[in-house]
Amino acid sequence: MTELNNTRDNPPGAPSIQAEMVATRTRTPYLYFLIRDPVAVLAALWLLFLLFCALFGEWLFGDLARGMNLAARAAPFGTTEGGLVNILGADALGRPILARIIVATRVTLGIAMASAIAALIIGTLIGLWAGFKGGWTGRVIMQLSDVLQSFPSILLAMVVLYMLSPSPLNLILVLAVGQLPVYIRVARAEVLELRERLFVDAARVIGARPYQIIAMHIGPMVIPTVINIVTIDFALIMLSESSLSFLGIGVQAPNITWGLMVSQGKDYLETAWWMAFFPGLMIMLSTLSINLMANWTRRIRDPRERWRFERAKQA
Amino acid sequence: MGNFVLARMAQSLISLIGLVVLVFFLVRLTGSPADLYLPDDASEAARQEYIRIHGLDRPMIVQFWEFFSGLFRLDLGESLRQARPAAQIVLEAYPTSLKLAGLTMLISVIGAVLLGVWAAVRPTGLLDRVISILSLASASAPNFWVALTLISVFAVWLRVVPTSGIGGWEYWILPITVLTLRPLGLLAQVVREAMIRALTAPYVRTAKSKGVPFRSVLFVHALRNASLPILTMAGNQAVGFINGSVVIESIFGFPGVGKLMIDAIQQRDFAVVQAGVVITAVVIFLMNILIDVAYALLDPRIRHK
Repeated sequence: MTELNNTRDNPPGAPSIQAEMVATRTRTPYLYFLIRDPVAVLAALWLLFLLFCALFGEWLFGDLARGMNLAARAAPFGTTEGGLVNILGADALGRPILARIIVATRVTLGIAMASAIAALIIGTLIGLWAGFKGGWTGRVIMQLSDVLQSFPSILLAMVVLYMLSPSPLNLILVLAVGQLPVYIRVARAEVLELRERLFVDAARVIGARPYQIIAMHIGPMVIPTVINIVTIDFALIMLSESSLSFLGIGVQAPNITWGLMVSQGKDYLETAWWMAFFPGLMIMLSTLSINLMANWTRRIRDPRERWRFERAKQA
Repeated sequence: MGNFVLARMAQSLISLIGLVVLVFFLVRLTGSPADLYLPDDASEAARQEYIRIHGLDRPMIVQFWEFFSGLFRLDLGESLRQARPAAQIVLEAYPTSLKLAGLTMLISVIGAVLLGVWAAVRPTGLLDRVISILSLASASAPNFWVALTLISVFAVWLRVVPTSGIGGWEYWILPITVLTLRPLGLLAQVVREAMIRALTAPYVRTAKSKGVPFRSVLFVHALRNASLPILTMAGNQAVGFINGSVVIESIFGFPGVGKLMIDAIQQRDFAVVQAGVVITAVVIFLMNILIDVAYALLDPRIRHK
């Protein structure tokens, strides 16, 4: 702080603008804004609940979710017969929907998270390389990425999953490949701008190798941008996975995901609506919470919108 | 402008060729059609005969050349299942999908502009919050689930619309409603964001102080300047339309190109898959040109470059 006070623009003793800014920043942590925004709080709580289900769901409800119980076949929504776990009804084999939803959290989120991270890492690396190399290599990579982007990703996934078996690993790869172009494009665009900067020239002059420049000088500057994208991408991948599972070429039984549960329930629409309704609701609430949180973090970080939160605080 | 479009066309042509190569080999990896089209107990000789008749025994590269040279004669091969030109089958399915896409985009854009502008008038106000959450929710909903839910409520329970199939206008209500949700939600957010930015610009203050009615400031001055990001998102959604229509057309039994493609992949009808992809790529290519032209029309800076 004292250092900032002694800048040339400010007479000694007067609080500098910079110090003021630093002070406001440290005085209002993100958590403070979060608590004041009930919608964001709900979304955060929901995500915490999902995390809990993903970690402990299998251990708590694993047997209930997979064991048949003919007595409770297609038990209706709202029943408490056979325990509270049947409150959302049961499926055609008498397995409680609630237990299955909770157990499915792990695979649903796991697949989406794995593909999102795979797409993030691979796409960013390719994009960094394409941007740094430039020239002919860069153009070929961009052209290929354009091909990938113009092809409807769901058709690509269908062809590949028919060709290979729809195992979780293949599913993760297919979903990740569909998202690669986004990261390639963004990472490349950032590098094209960054590699003209002075610090990159400086690194080159003192003899840093290309991979060192990418890893130590350019990479860290690109990471915040791609991290921003990955949160929204995560929700998108979850939707894609559920679509594929719904079409029957995604996750296969005995694994459970929400998309697969909707698919299993769709034949009972007229007699037992709860079988397809609640798993789908879970997908929607979860993607919505992720998007809400992503949106909220973006707004709070964006100086163009942040002042509105600050003003609301003072009022 | 002409050069710009030409350069884009050349670039798209390379992408198109890459796509064709990719699809040709990918669909052939899904397995032999002989396993699917002949009965399980067909003799080995019958299988060989089938494979020979359809030219599937020739080297891959010969098959590829035949397909590739056929492209220049506008010959996209013949469907294994229906024994007629694949291009004809795809082109018959296209009008339905394009009509679906056109109506969906029209409703989404109009709705999104109204909602987004309304929300942007008072950012972080109550209305803004409600619209923001609703638009996020509508972009987050899995469309197959919304489709099933709407079917159970309006078709099964209330019986006001048919469950699936094609016919009069009442068959279009549910598919269009479902397909509208995502573009509408995403676009409304973009409109809001772009309008908030546009409304803080000096020319808005000038217009207001000159006494221009607020409605004209919103819809004439600010919206025009906010239109570029809106166009980008609308273009993306229009180009990616087939992704959503694959699932929705299957659920509603709509004879569009999405359903055709999913069926063709399942039936290993190579020629139809290839024709579908090539024609879709051409449609996307034309749409991209339209979008570029729209950019130039909206933004004089692009036009005069």
